[in-house]
Amino acid sequence: MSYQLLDAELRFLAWRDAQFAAISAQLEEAFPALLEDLSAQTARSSLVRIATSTFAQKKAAEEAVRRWAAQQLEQALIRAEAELEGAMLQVPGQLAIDSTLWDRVSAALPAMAGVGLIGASFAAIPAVISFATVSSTVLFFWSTSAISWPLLAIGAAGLGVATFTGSRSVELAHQKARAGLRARLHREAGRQVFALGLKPGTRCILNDIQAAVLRAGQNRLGGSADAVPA
Amino acid sequence: MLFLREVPPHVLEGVQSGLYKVTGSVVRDVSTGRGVAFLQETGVMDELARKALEGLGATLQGGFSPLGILDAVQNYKMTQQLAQVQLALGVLQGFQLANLAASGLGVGVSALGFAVMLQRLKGIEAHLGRIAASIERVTADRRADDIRMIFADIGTQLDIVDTLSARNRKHSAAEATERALATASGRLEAHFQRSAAALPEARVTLEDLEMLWSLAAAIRLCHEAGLRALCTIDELPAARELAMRRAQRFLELGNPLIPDALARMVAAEHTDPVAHAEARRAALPPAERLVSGMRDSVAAIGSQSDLVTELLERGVYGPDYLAALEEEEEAPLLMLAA
Repeated sequence: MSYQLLDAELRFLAWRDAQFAAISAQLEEAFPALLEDLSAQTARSSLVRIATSTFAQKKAAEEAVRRWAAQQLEQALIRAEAELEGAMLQVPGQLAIDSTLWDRVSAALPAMAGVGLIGASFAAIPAVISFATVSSTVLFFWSTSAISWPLLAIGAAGLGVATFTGSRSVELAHQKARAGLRARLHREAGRQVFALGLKPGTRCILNDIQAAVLRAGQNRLGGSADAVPA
Repeated sequence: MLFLREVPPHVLEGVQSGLYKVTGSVVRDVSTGRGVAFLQETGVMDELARKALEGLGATLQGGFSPLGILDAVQNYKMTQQLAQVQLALGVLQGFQLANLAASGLGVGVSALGFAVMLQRLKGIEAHLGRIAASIERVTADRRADDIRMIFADIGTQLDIVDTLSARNRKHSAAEATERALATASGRLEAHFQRSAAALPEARVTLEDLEMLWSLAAAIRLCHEAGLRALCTIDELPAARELAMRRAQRFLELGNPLIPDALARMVAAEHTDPVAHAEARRAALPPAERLVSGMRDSVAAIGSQSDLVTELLERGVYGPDYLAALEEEEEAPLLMLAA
């Protein structure tokens, strides 16, 4: 193997590392908007709904997170694809038409999932996705398996008692109920997005987006290997 | 010095204009990837780096934190000659003084004297000893003891290499030493892989990253010493193979390490999103230093293979080449046209 091959492989490792750091920073920056969305959702809900409709709360929260995650995924994919194309263009001409390079880098990519964090997500993302299809594929995954919310309703019993003990008590109960639900939603969002408080490597939206970008990159490089004439 | 000369203006201009790029010790044409020249550090570079470290008041022996030093270095006005080299060639872009302190700049065949190598090995060992004491899982299974024994073996081999030129049977001694260094390096690699694989299983701290850096620095030192031993006996084909294989090994060692993942593992103890984000951002620069240090090693060691190929094609005698590096008194970097 030549030094040029090593150098090319280093470029793609640098691409992977830059994408992962950018995705983390992107999600951290966008996370407050998600929390605001969930807070607004709580504020809009009627007390009766907060107290009784577990299914409705759960569905609304899931939808808000899924919508937010889809936006983040789209942004991450656009950036990753553009930067991968840029990295591929920087490969010197003679090396770029040598399928050995693409075979090597593509073969090395499964190990690129790295130590610890995205292994479970990487294994869960279908191997055949591309930058063009990854978004819908991952969204399908999120809608069926990955995002699973606990019960969110706070229970009607306490509120029911408060409702009959005077208007001031009712107002306090309203505020307390909404604050409680909001806190639970925020905490759950932290778990869903960043796996906060969970074992390292647990599937979460951040890990899934990083894994999806890596899979799509792997297949883009693999496609380059296939495109080189024998 | 027929083969080495000062870096000419057109190469400097090419690098400055972006026409050429320096990767490892090779100056390449950006558009074609073709090597146009090889850079080679001399003994002057080692001396300058030593002064720079003294200026920082932060030597390995002084117990500095390798992954925490870069910000200070970037703001530090290096000696005039080093600054000129840096401006002229961009060789030191992303320059890690911590790596330099441990194993030299890594441009070409190492110009470090073996006494200096031994001193640096002891520095790495001392640093490792300090951080190992704070990493419970390292000491729990007696790995720290094993690492100390490996370092003792490496020190012995450096002593032998240091006296190679005075030996009657220098070929056999050099070959045996190179093998012993490769064995020690392999054992350190096993420790490195084990430490890296264990990261997700426990609370990760910056000391864990420094542990990995220290092991990587020692592996790199083994390689530089082994390569130099082979050059001392003019075993250049073997040196070429060794460099390429070692570069590949470094690539494989560093491949699973992702700075963002390492930083997130350090931040994992925080359950509040704001605190988690702050901790991740704080841990990211040292994690990037660890990983980029390993990637720099891949580039530096891999390009040694091309350099040695060039020496072979020119019929350069290995010991003459090393002597030229030691005799140079002014230029920290010389060039070999490709």
